[in-house]
Amino acid sequence: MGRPRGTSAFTELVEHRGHALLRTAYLLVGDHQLAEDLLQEALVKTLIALPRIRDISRIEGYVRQTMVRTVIGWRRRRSFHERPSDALPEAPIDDGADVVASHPLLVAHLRGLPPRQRTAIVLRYYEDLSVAQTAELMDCSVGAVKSHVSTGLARLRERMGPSLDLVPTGEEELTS
Amino acid sequence: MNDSLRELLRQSADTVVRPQLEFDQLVALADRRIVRRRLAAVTVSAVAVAAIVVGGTALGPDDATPSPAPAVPSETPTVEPTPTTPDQSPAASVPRVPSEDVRGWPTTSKNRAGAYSWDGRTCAYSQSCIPGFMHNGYGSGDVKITIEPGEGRVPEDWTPATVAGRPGAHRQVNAFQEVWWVEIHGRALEIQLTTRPGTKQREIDEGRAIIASMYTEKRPTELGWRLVFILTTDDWDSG
Repeated sequence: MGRPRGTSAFTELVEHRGHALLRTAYLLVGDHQLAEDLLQEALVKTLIALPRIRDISRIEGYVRQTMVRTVIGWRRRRSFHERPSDALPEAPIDDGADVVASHPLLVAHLRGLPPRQRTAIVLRYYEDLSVAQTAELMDCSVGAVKSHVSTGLARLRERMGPSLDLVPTGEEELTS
Repeated sequence: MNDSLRELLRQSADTVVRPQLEFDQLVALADRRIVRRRLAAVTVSAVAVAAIVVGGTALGPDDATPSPAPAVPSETPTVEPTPTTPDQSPAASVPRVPSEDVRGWPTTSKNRAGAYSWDGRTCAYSQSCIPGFMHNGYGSGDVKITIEPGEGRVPEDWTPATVAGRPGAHRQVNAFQEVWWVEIHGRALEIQLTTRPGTKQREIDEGRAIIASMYTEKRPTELGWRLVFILTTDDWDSG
């Protein structure tokens, strides 16, 4: 009874890259429990697709792509229990005092963004992917990525105040 | 630029503890899901068969009204037969789309309305699609269209029909399934439309309209051509 092709690469991925994948998943959903659910979902989907994956050496990319598309798909099919909300933590008041942007605050505000904007920001600024790579992973056009990032950063800037230096890069500015 | 954003994202990610992922548990979940999918497929088939049996029984053998034979639906692709060369196959009534606007097979995510194509391999936008399978997953998910290799010659007892601008055949398999057969450059194809009990007529019509919109065009693909069709809504995906 042999295991399907790619099983050893898969187990290696789970063992050695599981943590890194979960970190990305967390930023994509903004909740630890949901992040675990998302990663598990992506891994199970990958496992099912394993016999059809041509290039096993790129299995991690496949899992990441599955995570991104799963999280977008969950929301687009309106079956996901977390929704973007306008009820966000108060933005810091710019009273001249030094307001330090904290990561819990950023996560809270990220969670308030529509999923595509959040995903684009995470892929661009956490994964450090190019606009083209982000577009490929999100299954959308380069222009759409630029627009998502630009709008998402503008919203974060508006909500977090001047404590964070949020400016679109040259690439995003082209379409903003 | 945006270094503080990067730093905060990194700090946020650092709050994540190492996951306890068990390979055996993932395998068990995958196995369970595969079994569930198979069961769902069997259930759909069983419901379809039961509906046909119940429908037949309701009419009853003594019913004075003769049961109408399952007619070829009025929306059956009725592209006008065109005496054209094979590479200029689309009938006059099927609008053509500029080649550069035609995408590959719908991806597994949402696909915007427009012209797509089947060449057995190419996906639209990216590598992520299941060529030959699509359903209205962003609608009800009740309508499925598949394109598969068919019998090498026109199946007997099928109703003649024009498919993709060529002489082909049509068969109403049962209340929820109909198939179109066509041969394109020596390659026989079966295009299947499958629905479920309770599927809205509008969605069935949409599926038929997609098949009715099909035409072929010469392309430097492995086949040397591709089958183009039009999605009029963004409900369709191949996942």
